[in-house]
Amino acid sequence: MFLTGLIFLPIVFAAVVLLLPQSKVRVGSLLMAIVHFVYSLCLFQMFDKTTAALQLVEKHEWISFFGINYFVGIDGISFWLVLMTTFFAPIVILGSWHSIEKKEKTFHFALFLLQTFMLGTFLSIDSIMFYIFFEASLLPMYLMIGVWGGTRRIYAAMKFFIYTMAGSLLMLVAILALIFMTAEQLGAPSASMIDFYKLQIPFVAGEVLNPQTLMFLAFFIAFAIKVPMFPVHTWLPDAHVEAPTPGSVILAAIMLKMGTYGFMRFVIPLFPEATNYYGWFVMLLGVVGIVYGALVAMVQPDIKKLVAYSSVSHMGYVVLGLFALNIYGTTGALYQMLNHGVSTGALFLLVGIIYERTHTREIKSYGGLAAAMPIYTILFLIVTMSSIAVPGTNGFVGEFYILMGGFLKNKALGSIAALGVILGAAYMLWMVKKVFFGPEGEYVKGAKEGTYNEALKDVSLRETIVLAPLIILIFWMGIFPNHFLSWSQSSLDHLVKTQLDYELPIAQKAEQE
Amino acid sequence: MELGIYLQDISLTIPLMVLFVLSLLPVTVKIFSGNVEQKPLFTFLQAAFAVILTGVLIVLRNTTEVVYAFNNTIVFSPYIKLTTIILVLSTLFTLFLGYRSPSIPKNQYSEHVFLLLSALLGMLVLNYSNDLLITFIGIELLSLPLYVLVGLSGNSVVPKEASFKYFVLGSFASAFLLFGIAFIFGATQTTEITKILSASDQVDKNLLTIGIMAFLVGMFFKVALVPFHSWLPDVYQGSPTPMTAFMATTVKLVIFVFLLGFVDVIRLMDMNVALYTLQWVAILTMFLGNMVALKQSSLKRMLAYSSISHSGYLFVGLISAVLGTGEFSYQGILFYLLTYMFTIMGLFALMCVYEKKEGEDLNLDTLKGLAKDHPWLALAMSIFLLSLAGIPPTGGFFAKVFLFSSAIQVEQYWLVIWGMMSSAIAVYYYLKPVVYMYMKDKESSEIFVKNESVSTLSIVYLSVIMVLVLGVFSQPFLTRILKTLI
Amino acid sequence: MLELSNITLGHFILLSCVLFTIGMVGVLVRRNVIVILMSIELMLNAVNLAFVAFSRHHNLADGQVIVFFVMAIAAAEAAIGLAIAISVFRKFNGVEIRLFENLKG
Repeated sequence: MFLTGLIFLPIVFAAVVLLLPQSKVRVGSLLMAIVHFVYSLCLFQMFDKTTAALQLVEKHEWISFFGINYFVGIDGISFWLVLMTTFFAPIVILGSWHSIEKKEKTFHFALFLLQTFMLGTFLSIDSIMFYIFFEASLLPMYLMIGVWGGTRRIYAAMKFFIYTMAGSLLMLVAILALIFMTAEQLGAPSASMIDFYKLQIPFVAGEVLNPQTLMFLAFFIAFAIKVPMFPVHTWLPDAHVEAPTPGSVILAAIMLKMGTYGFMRFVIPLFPEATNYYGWFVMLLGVVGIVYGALVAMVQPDIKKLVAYSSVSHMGYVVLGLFALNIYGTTGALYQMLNHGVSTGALFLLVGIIYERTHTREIKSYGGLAAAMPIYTILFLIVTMSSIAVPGTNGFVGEFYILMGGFLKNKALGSIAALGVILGAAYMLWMVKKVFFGPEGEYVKGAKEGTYNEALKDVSLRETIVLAPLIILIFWMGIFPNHFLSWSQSSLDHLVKTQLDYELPIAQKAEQE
Repeated sequence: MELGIYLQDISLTIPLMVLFVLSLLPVTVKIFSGNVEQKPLFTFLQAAFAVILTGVLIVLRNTTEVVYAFNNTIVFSPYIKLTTIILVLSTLFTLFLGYRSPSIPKNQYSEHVFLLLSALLGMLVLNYSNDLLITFIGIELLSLPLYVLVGLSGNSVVPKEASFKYFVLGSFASAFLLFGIAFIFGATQTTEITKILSASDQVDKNLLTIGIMAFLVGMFFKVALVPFHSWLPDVYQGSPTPMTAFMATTVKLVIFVFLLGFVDVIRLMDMNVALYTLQWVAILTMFLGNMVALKQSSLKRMLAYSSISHSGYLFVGLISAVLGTGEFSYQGILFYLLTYMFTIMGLFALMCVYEKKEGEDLNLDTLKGLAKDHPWLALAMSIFLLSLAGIPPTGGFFAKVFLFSSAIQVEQYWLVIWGMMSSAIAVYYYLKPVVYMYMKDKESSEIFVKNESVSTLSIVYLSVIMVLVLGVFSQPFLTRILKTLI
Repeated sequence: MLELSNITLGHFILLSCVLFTIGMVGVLVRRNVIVILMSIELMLNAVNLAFVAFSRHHNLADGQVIVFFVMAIAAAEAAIGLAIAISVFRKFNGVEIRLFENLKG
């Protein structure tokens, strides 16, 4: 029952939000989000990290005709993603305390709905349920961007929605085909991933028109759009720029991970031969994403767009690691998914803080911020270090593993990726220099001359509390990665070692049903 | 062959006779009281009573097997029972929508009711038919009142033009139907469907294929498949909104249900030639419907084009039923029809709610900022639009899943992929009203005028609930449908 | 009776198709409303011809009975068509389709 409760509790919270009086909405939802997070911490008690099997499983019949069931479970791969989802909710609510001015109830309602859908995506073992949650999560995010976003928000929201949906419709076709395959090969139709893993999907190397390659392509395109990978990443900069700060944070921290999670759950274990055969191409696309993202980030005048492109770049690393198909790459990829959430989430929060004060994101209107807002500068620098992967921060651990894995698999791509690290440092540090150091821009001048007096206050207590957990995580994850990785290690080992013949057993512990 | 009237014949057709007699009631009362309308409530109650009584009579008839009557020209089976009930329900909903609707003139309400019930009678005849002649009679009995119903709306010219257009093209289609029936008769020497199926070995295949093709062309007109769709947008836009709802749901329903039953005959066609044509019709319909809908700013017209694209999806399901053996395609199509009926009924009911006076066209601009004033109605509209777009967790999503899986089962992968792609395109125009409702602000300070009609609002809420229920609890419906197919 | 053995089923069907096509073209091309209604009737009667021809060919009565039904229905259709035409063209002076301006797109 635990996982069902975890997934659907936010819906209850969403209903409660509608009933709260307007003045108490923010406090109420913050408290509920914290409760939800603490509830999810029970996972540490209940999860057995020594096994790669699926735990805390719940299965109920739903559409038995098709073999579609309500089937949830958790393993090492989804463990941290779930925790990250519940972790970010209170942070986002606290971070958006003042920035959401109209229709607050609706906003928090959408937020909690989004929580349910995201948790459902990570915890579903039935593929149709996964698809439903995957698609449904687009709706609240679409609303958030469209209602509370910037000037071109409607365009950005539509682009985001339709782009992602088109890809996932392809995935739906593949899922349906897989269900029919289970009916043929296993006797009864089933939509659960566990049964999919048992399928023998024919593969012919070199041809496109065989079942495995086609399905690989379908799933790959769907998740590639979500990650986002070059060249289907174009929705991301628009979506991020126009989204309100809380929307950006959740989009970057959690929703992008659905794509790479999909790779780990579907593409790699279900289509091992195709992955091995086409893996080098995916890695190439990943590297292109790294370099492209970095280069474009360097010429952005808008801070948020710069961070958006840095997301593309970072996710390129994750893809590189995943498709290296060795334990280093996979571990690094999972770790980097978490890192990216923390550091990019923090970056968006930081940008939001400054935006709230000045209502501009243009780099050239800033300059010399360090003198006016010293604490903010320190926080920003720490997060920058994490993003660049300076040793001591979480980013380093992830990227190191990935580069090792990538290099082992393909020396050329690995080297280019390593050079990409330099590019990453380049654009971030350049941005930091322009914004915080260097000649004073209009805002700082204005503050000094007294015209913009109110604008550049240093970070308030609330903002510090929002950023503090993230900063702590940056160092904790950087210095003691094993505290985090140990929980996922057995699942990751299992994935890499048995990739060609992947099966996911259900843990034999007595369930509560 | 014995010709006589048996008990069986009468008992099967009692619902039809009852419906016929009761449909005359309001008009008769009106005539005898010197052309003065009764209170609309009375007329409405009489009509509702007629429909409900018919429904009850049909439900009461116990069938576990297929029963024939009137010398094998009429058939009744559990499948027909189920589909007839859905039709009766749908007509009942239309009655609710039409009651006190501003677009239906008050002094012609009795006639409106009579024509609606006659159309229902035609649908029942169509559904019960086992002989192509009875089919033709049913279609005419359905269409003729409908032509008039479209035009029955007071002084405005637009509905009358729509009515005329509908009449011309509808009769054109009926002529094709008849042509098809003639050739089928020529090939198989009979018009009885069961006999056609059994005589299929010794017939002239070419003649039969031409006949079936012509027949199907006539049917394609009625559900507006490309390239026979040109009447639909104008007629849907011009007719009074309750009638548009009726056409979009019930007429489409009955034709597809009939085609579903007709599938065995369709299979007799020379598939090498015919399949290619059918596939192209499906693909073109899905695409054209969705592409043109993108440019529409009038909500009614947009829904008309979306209706065309949904006919396309249903047609994909029909092709799967033709190619496959499975009850699975039947389940898929029937479930889709059920979901579609509730969604469209609810959507048009919403449009009736906002219709201030007859002929006023709901535009996207008029929707701006609706969410603030009427949040629940805006939510209802969003749910309907999401269901049409096929976004989980609404019923429309599952309907599409089942429909497309039945197509995958017969390996029509290209149809499915095109279907998915056009669905993705469609999302854009389905979401546009949502955008206008939630994300744009009202321009004037006018409050949205709501037609406080209880009957219409109740249809809206009922439909919303059903759409969501069908999404989450689809299994019982599927099982029920499956039971009738054996 | 003249010797009719040279006129086969094919001839009748051909005639039926030709009449049908003429009617079809009439509906699609002509602008006068009355002519359109006439063309629809022509189509229906072309099919009647086909029915009778097939029925004779197979020596069945079925087709000829069907003709009666069709004629009755065609009459009803014509009545409704004329009624609708009257209601539309009450306002205009003529019966030309050109006058349909309101429904476009």
